[in-house]
Amino acid sequence: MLTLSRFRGFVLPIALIMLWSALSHRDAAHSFIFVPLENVVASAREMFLNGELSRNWTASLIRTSSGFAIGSGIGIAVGSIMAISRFADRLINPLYQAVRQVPLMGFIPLISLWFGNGESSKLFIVSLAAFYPMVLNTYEGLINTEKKYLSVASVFKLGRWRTLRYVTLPSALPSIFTGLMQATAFAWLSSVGSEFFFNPGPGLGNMMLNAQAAFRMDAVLLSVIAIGVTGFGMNFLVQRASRVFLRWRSTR
Amino acid sequence: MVDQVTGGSVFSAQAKTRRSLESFFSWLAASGPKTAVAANAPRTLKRTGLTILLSPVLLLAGWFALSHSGLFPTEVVVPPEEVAATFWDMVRSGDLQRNLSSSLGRLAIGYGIGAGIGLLLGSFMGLSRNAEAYLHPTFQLIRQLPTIALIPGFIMVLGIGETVKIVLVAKATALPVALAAFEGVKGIPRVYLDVADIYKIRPLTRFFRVILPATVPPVLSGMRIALSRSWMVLVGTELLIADSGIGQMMEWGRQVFRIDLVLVGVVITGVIGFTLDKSFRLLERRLVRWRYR
Repeated sequence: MLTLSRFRGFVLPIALIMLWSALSHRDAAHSFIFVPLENVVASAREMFLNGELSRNWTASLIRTSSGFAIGSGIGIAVGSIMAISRFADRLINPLYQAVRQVPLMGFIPLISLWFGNGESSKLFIVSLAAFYPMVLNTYEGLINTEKKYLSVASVFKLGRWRTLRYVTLPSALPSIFTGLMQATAFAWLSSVGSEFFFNPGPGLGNMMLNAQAAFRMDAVLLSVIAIGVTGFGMNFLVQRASRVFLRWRSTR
Repeated sequence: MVDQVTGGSVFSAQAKTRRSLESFFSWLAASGPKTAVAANAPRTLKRTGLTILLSPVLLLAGWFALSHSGLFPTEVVVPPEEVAATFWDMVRSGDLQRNLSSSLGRLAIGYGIGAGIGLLLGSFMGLSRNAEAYLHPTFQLIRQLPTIALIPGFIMVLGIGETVKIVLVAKATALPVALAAFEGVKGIPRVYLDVADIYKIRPLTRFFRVILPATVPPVLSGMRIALSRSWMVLVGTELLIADSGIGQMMEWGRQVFRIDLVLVGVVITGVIGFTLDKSFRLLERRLVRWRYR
């Protein structure tokens, strides 16, 4: 009884899969949308073997990682400057808050007119997606250092930079990792999403658009699964990394 | 033994009181500088007000200077006054209102449906252990699929009409709301429920005075995040497939190379995003006012 109840989570997915395959084998109209699962597996095999899947996957992933590196690097820098200097805070913060209100997709037409429809525009969108959460979390992490810690640092006469290195930065690290986690998620999402709006090039989003144009639901599903799994894997990696880096923290 | 246990609990109670006192004093200390600021408010307020305005004014001035410098054609770097003129033209012709109302209509319907489903699903999973065991794994699985990535698949199934936009907005809303509701219900401190049990309050009172107030704040912030996310999804969908709406207006401006039109769209999507977020925050503060007392 106890062992059986552990498998309750599998009931719904299995039921859904069974419903799906029952619908897919009813008639041609149904099998167009509820594409037989064996077709999805077959097309996965085919696209894996002819290298199409890995080629597109790599292209999306490379754009994600370079955009993430650019966006989060600049984001950490801007967030730290805002946290350290009151003047920079007053200068940048209103602008940041104003620009952030525009949904990411809203910038796409403007970017396409100013910077063209190529790969660099896609990279810009991905960098922007990683930039926003990084600025906010770095800034808030650094600002919200506990007053007690800062008092201790001033008692020990640590000085500005050593306070930053030994007190403020370690206490901001959890928040910075939260930012990194959001940044990877947004970068991946916008990397795939940006492919819908600009010139076709290699990438999972583009693979999906081609599949849609060719009415191949199996390939669309395959792309969705690849995007979901990759996003999950990236999130898992960042979480692991943050656990390693924050090991020194006493978890209460 | 018994003494030790009770002694321990008394001690921990004392520690708790001390901790809460400490946090109270640190809160007092943190609010100290603010009161000091309030003492010479006029000067400080004036100064911060000016510096906050500084960067937008600089940006506007830089934009104005750049557009009139002749470095770029005015079709590419459109002067701000031309963008304002375009905005005014669109208001007078009613184009803007038409696009705005179709976008906001889609958002309202999709968000309403999505939030309803999300609240039901989330609280159901949070309240019933069985529902959690059956539904939660699948829910977590579906949550991994970003809405943007579902657009092509949904277009294949639902076509390019109104339905697909509303379904996408509803999907983008339902999952974060469900998660917030689930975690809100799950996160009610055990102590609250224990106290409620000790006082033997009626189930209805228990629900309205204990469970609901404890879950409202996290659920509201989840709903706020869902709102801005679904606004982004809607704008993106309208860029791809629409015959009306702010996104479609911008996409048209892109195709006919009217950067002024696109800039009007950028500003308007930003203003709407800001207004939605801000009004939700105000609502949050009103509804959970007891928290700030």
